[in-house]
Amino acid sequence: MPLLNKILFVEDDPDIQMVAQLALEAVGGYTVQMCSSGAEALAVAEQFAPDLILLDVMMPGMDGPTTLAELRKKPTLAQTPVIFMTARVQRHEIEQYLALGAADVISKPFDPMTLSTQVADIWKRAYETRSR
Amino acid sequence: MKPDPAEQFELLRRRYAAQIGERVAAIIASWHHLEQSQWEKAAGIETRQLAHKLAGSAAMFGFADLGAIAREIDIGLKEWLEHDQPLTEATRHYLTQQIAQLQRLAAEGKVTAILPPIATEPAPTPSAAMPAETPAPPLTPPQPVATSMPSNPAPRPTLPVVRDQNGRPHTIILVEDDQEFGNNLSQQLHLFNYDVHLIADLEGLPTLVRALNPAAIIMDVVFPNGDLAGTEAIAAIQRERTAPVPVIFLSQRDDFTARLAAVRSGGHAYFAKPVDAGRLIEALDRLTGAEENTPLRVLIVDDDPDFGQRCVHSLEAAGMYARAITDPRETLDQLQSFQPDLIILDMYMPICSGKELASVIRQQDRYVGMPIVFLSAETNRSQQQSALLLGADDFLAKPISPEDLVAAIAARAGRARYVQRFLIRDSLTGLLNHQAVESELAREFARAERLQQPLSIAIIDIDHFKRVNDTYGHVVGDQVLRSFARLLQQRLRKSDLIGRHGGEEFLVALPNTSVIEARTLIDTIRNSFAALRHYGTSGMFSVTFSAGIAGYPQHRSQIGAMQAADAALYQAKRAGRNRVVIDTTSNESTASPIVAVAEPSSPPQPHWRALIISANGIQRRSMRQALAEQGVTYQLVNDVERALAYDAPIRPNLIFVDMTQIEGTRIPNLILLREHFAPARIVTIAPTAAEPRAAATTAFGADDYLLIPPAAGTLPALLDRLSASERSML
Repeated sequence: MPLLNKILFVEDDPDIQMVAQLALEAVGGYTVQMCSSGAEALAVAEQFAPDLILLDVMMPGMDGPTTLAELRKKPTLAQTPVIFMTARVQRHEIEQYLALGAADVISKPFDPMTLSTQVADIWKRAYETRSR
Repeated sequence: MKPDPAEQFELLRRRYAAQIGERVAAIIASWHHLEQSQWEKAAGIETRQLAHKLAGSAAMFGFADLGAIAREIDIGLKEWLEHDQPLTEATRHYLTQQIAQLQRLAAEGKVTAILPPIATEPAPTPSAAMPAETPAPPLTPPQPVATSMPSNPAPRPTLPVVRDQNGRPHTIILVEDDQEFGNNLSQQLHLFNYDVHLIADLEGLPTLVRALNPAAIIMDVVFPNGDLAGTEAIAAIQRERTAPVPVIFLSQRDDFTARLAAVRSGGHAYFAKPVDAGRLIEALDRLTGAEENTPLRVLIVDDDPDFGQRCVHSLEAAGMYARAITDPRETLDQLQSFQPDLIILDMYMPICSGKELASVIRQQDRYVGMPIVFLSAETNRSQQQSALLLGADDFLAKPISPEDLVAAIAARAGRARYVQRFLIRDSLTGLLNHQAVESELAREFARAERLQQPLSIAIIDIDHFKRVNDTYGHVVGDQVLRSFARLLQQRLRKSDLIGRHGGEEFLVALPNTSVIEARTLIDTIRNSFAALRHYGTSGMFSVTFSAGIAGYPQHRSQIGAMQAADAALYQAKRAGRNRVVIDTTSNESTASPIVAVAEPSSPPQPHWRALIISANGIQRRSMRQALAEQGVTYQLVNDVERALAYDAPIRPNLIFVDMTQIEGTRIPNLILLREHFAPARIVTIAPTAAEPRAAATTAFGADDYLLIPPAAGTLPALLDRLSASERSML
């Protein structure tokens, strides 16, 4: 299984950004690139070449699903696992997100102490599913 | 040195806490603006954005209440702003209530006072990592062992069971100015299912007590503003209440003055720091009534119905359960059904004398210890003595005043129960002892077989326990065992059996629980236990355990299951300890595995083992989810080639194949699958838009087709169709 190292984190709320940065960098030991909008993510994603992308569903401007669709158009990002982050939603909404091609959905607010474990688990599953 | 992430979070949280009042004020102001603007959309969007932001982050920083209200506002505005649905009167009213709630919290100072710690209970499994209400789809495919499991295990949602045993968790307010100690203690209490609100100072405590009505308060006595400030604050709170709230004091001081002040202010327990969480929990359990305290039960056998009824009244008025019978021949039945702690016999009855009846009772092994009290007008000393010789425990003379009766019976029945407890309970942990747990287990096995329900047994052994005893001494070692026993009692259901099997070995039996579910459950307990801190002479330490799990119906006998669980435990130990291992040995008998709780009307389903052939992520996910919901075990492969090379220990009998791999020029693949997996059923999976093409594959040898994502009920219907045709072929 390839190692999970680089994570692109797309989220407009600076408070959540700060906590996530700590949770993923200090606790998880990953390299994190923060983006505050979908547009910003599209601008930096190819160069940063993330192993995994965490994407907020509801952002001003380009929302999560649209950003995902745009990211998928780039050949180097077509296969990158994407995790949506969203507030507690109905089951059918989660299924919609999964149908869009997300690897999983993490509900907000997340627990900063366990976020990196959660992400690592999803990464492992995404990889296992793919290789089987 | 790298800064500690926990400290950094704490800094962030404090910063967030410092601004949260402003954020709430901004939402309220924006709402007023929205109202004044006559519901202008731009104002609505601003309000919603502010609420949405607060909803997303508040709970992460410990302001769950605020976050929940903000979420309601966010959702309430959604339909209007996103789908142009006009705001109804009811919605507006509801939103106004939410805003009022925000205002109230802000006014009460709650937005600055309550800083519950971020829950850091270890979350090893994805299901535990998600909040309980989150409808997370089942993403983890069942482990390979699942293929040997019966399908459709009886439902036992793991997390709710963990939380549910005593209804809602008790709320505790912890007042502690030492942040680190406070956080640590809240986490420990959290492991024992207490819901802890941590506050750093006495300000706002009276408000919080009124709002939360906590089951207990834990309070550090020494605060900067006055040496005994804590005891004074508690005294003030207790004066306000009709029923005092239980209070436990913690203190650096262990002197008489401090202890006396604590008692006088209405404190119920006093702990000098460092505090051992285990002992604190024992005190909390006692004070919050979490400990079992069922009424004493008394059976009265007297041919005078009036006298019997009077006894019943007197005893029940004193809080006991009592039952009176007039016919001594019913005694044995009543002993069995009523299960009294004590029996009162009349000395002289028409059918048989009390003495005879006592002998009959005593002749049965199980009632050898049952206390028997004679009640009679007999004043003849020698008669009394002969009664005592025949096995009576005491002799009370009629007439007897209700007070005397209650006093005499309560003392004897209480002591009898206490003794009984010693006979079946382990004195250190209060759990069932070795013999009791084995005999109870036999009963559970019989029950599982009768009801055709799964039963899981876990043998749990504390890792390196000898080292704990050697390093910290037996007193500390015993405390570790007691804490573990408490944790088990907190986390398991009342109907689960928990026993100390000897030394540091424990046995748990979980009725109506499959071994897979049992593993998840025991594993969460394992995580909690590992997170628990114990106090030894040379500082804090933690301890882990290993567990082996086996169960019915994989094993048909108690001995077989016990041996298998033991072997699994041995594997867990050998694999490095601190883990839970499920027994994977096959059934000891050839009897077919039971399908638990099948709908009585639905036809018996064959045990489906599916193979999904698809490289399409959405198809794979939908299928996994749908099959998991039906309790069907499955494997996944990418393409037909790999399916044909797939070597399973148990062959699949149901193949789901992506339509694109078997249509057009690939039709030969379908024939190959048919031949290779015969007599397995083959089902084509395809997107809804491709239904005509999917249907066409049935002409080339597919048994059926399924459209992805499957609508509710379509997969069960498909399985029914397949099993029906299976039977008609037989």
